[in-house]
Amino acid sequence: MLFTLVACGYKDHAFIYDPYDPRMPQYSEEGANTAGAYINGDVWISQKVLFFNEDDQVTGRRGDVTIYVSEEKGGSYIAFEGGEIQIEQDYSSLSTVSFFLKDVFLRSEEDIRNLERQSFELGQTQNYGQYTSSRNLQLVDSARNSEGTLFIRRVGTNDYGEFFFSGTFGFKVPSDLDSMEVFSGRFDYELVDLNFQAL
Amino acid sequence: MKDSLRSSKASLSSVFSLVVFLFLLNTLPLTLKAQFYLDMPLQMDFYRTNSTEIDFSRRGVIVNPTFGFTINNNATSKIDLSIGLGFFYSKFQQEIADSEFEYNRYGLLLSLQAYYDLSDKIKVGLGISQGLHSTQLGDPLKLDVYSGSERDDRLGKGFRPYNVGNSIEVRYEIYNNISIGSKYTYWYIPQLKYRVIGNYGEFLEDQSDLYFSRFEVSVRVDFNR
Repeated sequence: MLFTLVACGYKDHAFIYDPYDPRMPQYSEEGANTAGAYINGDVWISQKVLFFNEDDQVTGRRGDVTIYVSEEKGGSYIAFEGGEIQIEQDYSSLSTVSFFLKDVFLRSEEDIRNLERQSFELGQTQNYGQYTSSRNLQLVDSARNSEGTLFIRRVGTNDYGEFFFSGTFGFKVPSDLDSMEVFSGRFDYELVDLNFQAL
Repeated sequence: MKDSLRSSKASLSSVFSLVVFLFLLNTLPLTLKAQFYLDMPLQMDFYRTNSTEIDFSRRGVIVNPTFGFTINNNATSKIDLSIGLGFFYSKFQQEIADSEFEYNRYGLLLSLQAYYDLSDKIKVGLGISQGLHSTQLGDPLKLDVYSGSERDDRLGKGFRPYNVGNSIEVRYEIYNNISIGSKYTYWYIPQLKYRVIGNYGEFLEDQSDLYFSRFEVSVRVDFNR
């Protein structure tokens, strides 16, 4: 089903190749609707795709950012959902990179604007980053001991009048079983009301 | 903003160079003893980087026609001055892990060359060249993107749109108006500016890299001789 939908989808923005490593999106500040990182050395890319299934008259999106506010957990998740990690030449899987920010409640554009030029240490505080192959963030709390940083570098409005935020990140999740490295991350996304949700 | 300004400057410089060339093309032959030529060079580009992380290399051999004119105001002089205009075309590739990316560069090439006649048939030249070009990613990386023209897939802004080089050349006249020659041009300006994001999201120092040089052999036909 997913592949049927994706086949009918289209990317709604340019993919700006990083000239250093064209497998990745370049860090940009314009709402390019992409994110990328090296996950355990493999390339992970999230790019917003809009799709429409004529049979079921269903519209949807993938590879977008969603910002969840959780009163219960006392903070917000910034989740880059539906990214792809290329595991082998012809095989990729969908996954999500997300961040939980304790005592930060992001319900609107204005809340995001207040984050400009801020960086969040992960692991030393109750903030953390996580990587999951599931979209259900409530299932995953195992990454609270992650070490790293989330930088919100730019928040603004692009030439088309669209509100965007962009930044960089990287973190490492030590584990007895299997450590996870999410390195050299970058994101640049437009934000509309649809991107803000309550958990 | 800086990139768009730089791009505008490069465009203005390109237009200015073209206008100057066309002006000289129209006026100098009337006032000086000048002859037109057509060059058919076979070119090989050599790319090198200072980084062990990025791996660029040449793709194939290029044929780039160039036309221009040579000025020699004094028949007894052993020195000629040549001004040439041609297409700038270069193709190269980048290899990362199992991925391979192909690039093409298109633009204009302007050259000013001074020749010294070693004998009736052999002359050597030293010159300066200016390249104005854009860099594009070629196949197989074209993505299927729904977009207007302003939202096409595009390459990051790291590739420079201009370059300056010096050349050395040797030509041998095989007939009255046909000569063969070889030329080596060293280009000075690093063509790729990039910024690496560190493991934990920090920006590392900006880097300038990717140098290239060009070796070519050519057949030149002189007209009006």
